Amino acid sequence: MNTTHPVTATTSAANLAREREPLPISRILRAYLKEAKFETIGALRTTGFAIPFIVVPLAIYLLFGVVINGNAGSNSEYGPGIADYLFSGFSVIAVVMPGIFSGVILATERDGNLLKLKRSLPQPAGATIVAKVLMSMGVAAIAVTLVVIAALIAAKITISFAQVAIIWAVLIVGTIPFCAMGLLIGTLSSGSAAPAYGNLVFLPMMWLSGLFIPLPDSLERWVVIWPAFHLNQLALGLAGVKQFSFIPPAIAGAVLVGVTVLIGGLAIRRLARVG
Amino acid sequence: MNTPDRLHALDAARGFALLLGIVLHATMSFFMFVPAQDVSQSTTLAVTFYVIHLFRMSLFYLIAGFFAHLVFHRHGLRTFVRDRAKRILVPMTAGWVILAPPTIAAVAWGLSRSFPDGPPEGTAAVASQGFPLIHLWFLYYLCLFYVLALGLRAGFVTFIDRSGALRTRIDAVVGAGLVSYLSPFILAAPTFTILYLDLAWPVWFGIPTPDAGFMPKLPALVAFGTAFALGWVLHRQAALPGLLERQWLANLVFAVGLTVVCLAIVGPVPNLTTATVIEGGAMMRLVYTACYTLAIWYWIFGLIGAALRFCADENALRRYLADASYWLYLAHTPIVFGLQVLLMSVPLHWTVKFPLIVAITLAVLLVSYHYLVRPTFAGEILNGRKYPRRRPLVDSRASGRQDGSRRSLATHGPGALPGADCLRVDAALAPVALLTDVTKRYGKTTALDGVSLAVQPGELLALLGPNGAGKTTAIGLWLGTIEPDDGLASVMGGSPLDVNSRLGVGVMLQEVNLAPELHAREHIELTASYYRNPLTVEETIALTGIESFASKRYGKLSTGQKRQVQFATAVCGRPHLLFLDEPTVGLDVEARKTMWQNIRRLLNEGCSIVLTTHYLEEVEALADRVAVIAKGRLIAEGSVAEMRSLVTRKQISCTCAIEIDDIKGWSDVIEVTREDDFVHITAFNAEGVVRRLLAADQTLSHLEVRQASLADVFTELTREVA
Repeated sequence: MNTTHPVTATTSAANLAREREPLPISRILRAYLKEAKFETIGALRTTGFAIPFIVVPLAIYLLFGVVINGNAGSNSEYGPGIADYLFSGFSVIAVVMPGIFSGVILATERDGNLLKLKRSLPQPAGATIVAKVLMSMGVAAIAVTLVVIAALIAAKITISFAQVAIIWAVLIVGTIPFCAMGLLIGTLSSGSAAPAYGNLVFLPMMWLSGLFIPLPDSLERWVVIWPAFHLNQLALGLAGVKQFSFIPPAIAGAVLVGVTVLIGGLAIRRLARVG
Repeated sequence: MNTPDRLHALDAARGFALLLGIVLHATMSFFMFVPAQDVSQSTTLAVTFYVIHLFRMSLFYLIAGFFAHLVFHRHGLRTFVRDRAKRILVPMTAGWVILAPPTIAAVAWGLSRSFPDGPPEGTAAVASQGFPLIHLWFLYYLCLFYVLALGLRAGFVTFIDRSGALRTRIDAVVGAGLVSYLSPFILAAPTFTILYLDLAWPVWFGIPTPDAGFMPKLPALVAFGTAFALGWVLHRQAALPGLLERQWLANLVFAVGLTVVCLAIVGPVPNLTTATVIEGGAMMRLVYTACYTLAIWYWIFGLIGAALRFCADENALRRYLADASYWLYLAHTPIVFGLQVLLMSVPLHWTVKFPLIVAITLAVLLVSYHYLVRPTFAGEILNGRKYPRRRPLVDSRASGRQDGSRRSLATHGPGALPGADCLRVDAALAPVALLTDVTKRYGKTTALDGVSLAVQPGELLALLGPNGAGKTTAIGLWLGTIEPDDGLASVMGGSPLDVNSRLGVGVMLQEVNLAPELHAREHIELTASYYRNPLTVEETIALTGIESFASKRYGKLSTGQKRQVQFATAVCGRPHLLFLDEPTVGLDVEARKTMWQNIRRLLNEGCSIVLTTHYLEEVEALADRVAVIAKGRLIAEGSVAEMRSLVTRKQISCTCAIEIDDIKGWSDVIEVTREDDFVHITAFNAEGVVRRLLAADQTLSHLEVRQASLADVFTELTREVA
């Protein structure tokens, strides 16, 4: 109970003005980093969040990409390259999940008035959102790294290590648009409803983006509406996997930027209004 | 040179240069084919373009150089870099991403509509080569000039002129040169040389617009760089502005004269196929180049002089337009170009179309500025500050003048207590939190109705009232989570919406769930990172007595322990002002004592506290002053002693056979109600009434005497008010 620090000083008008001086930029940056750090620690300790999103992509990749379709190359119309496509498709899932479901955490925090509290505190502007995005990218990085390791060890991928590294890096950054979608879900729904809404977006997108299962023609022409398809195309295009680049990476990138700006903008706007 | 009126004048001139850019671009379709070739062509608009284009960017860069020097020398390198990154680099990058696609698309659309069969011969030279910077090139060159200026200055100060003596001498020479009649000639010389020697120079278009490619173009670098450099040293020249102000008319007359000569040589409309040729050979080219480059400087001097002469006073409209001009100029290209393409084939005269294009563009951009930019983060980036939409949230009343707060505090409801104005106010101290005539409505419900309330330094103000009275609204206004519909809220002398005002504020709210997976100490570490000079985590833990569960996950703690952790996060930033909303709910006796001790210690150290609670004993133990809110109005305010007189009334309950009308007639009895067998009596002298009850009915049972709860008293008060 003993401390030598006086908690406060006398308050005069001049002191008040001094107290309102902005913090140095280094301190503000540190506050952002702390927010991101504890967001990530919190998410990793939440078994319902971290475990499924880290383990599930690896598990389904091992099951569908390696065990069941491991030898698909020999009888597929695409040849041995199909292993590369499966790898990138499952990797996309690994980054989409933590992005979209980051909204669940946001919705829970909104339910608990935590955002209201943070808005009353001198928390730097947007720190909550920045922290959520960085946390999603962190969890996505772990998940996608596990898929990469599995692909390098167990799958018969034909692309080079450098191409794998490019896909890996693009996908981690590619978490951001999905995080924007997740945050919008989180601002629109309650904590208990958010997982349902998340799945409502995630499940159709996972199946209908043509990431790992062949789609009938009637559905195939609609893959372009799913951001996951564009992320996959961006990663494959930038890595130079020509066989599976169906649209120019610039277009895919533009779509993802558009999704981020539009949906992220809506989420931020709503968050600023309703908290 | 840096008196406020001169800054107003220069800011007005800067805004003028930017707004002229919109007019400039709006003329283009009426005499050339970019972005579209209008069916109605105009020589007048071609001349308009020519004149504006002649001086506009040089004027802009001169003022930019002036303000760069001012910011750099007033606030130092770090602030300069941060400020410029925010206000130039961010708008440039974000602006390009947003504006380049529609701008380029509008131009491409216009060209394809003007020339369905491909562009005409000889126009390839006009098509842009390299990265399309669009009109945002002016920000790119501004950044280049900042880097150049800072680099050159650093080299000069470090290696050549450590003592500053040389700078003083250079200032003297520059000053002498500038005030002489030779100055436009000296200043025009570099640009003249570059342009005259460049045989590929398209003469009608003046200084070639460097909007293609990142590689700096020499003519632009030299011409605009001279202007920027003059602006930079101008800030050190005390005599020049006065001279410019006196000579504004003479300079403008020279400018117009030289411009007329130029137009006579080159013709009022550009010839795009022979853009680099001047009839009359090398001699005429020499005269033209000299007149053109001199005209630039006479225009600049004349216009800045006129601004100093006529726009030096502070004027709200001019200020608003100057602030808005940056946004207007940044965002205007897609709209102007789009309208030009849309209207190109419409069979109307240019005197109709041109004003229409300018008017629509300005209207759209001003509305978007007012509603989407000025009050938002975009305004903070572009203007350096955010303007609240309704009215300034802090005015002189809120900035700590005692007379204002006293006056506002005198406006109590009719139920105000005697002596309510006897506030403990120390004239040297400013209120740390203020509500001034605040009204807040939710739909048809008025949560707060014209409430004025001040929190003085070092006092604990207990905010009391029944549920739904408006306490939480009042606190929300102070915390910036809600905005008032009318009136002003301030904390720490600033707007609660400003994060910097909240740097001195600690908060403990009701019904908050902190992240359940984090440990208590992690919550403290995170919250402390928001503050300027926080306690360490260990100090906070020791101070608030939560050692035993500091390393447990928050979600695993009991309700009382959670409240203690929330209290710890509220005090970890060494707040000057602490908001405690029902802090002791769910605490055991020991924990409540610790919290009371902490609250007393904070008060002793000068912290101000706003406390809401339903526990009367807590108020009696801690509060200096009590304010009662009911039905959105401040109905009573005063010291605890004054409040105590209100709560001497007590509630007596019992089952008895006495008629309630009889009891009503007894002395000291305020109110009597019957509920089944029970009789509820509110009375002042409870002991006397109980004695009389027992005497009157031997069968009386279930006797209970309790102090009237504050909520009861306040409900009663509100009833009196209503």
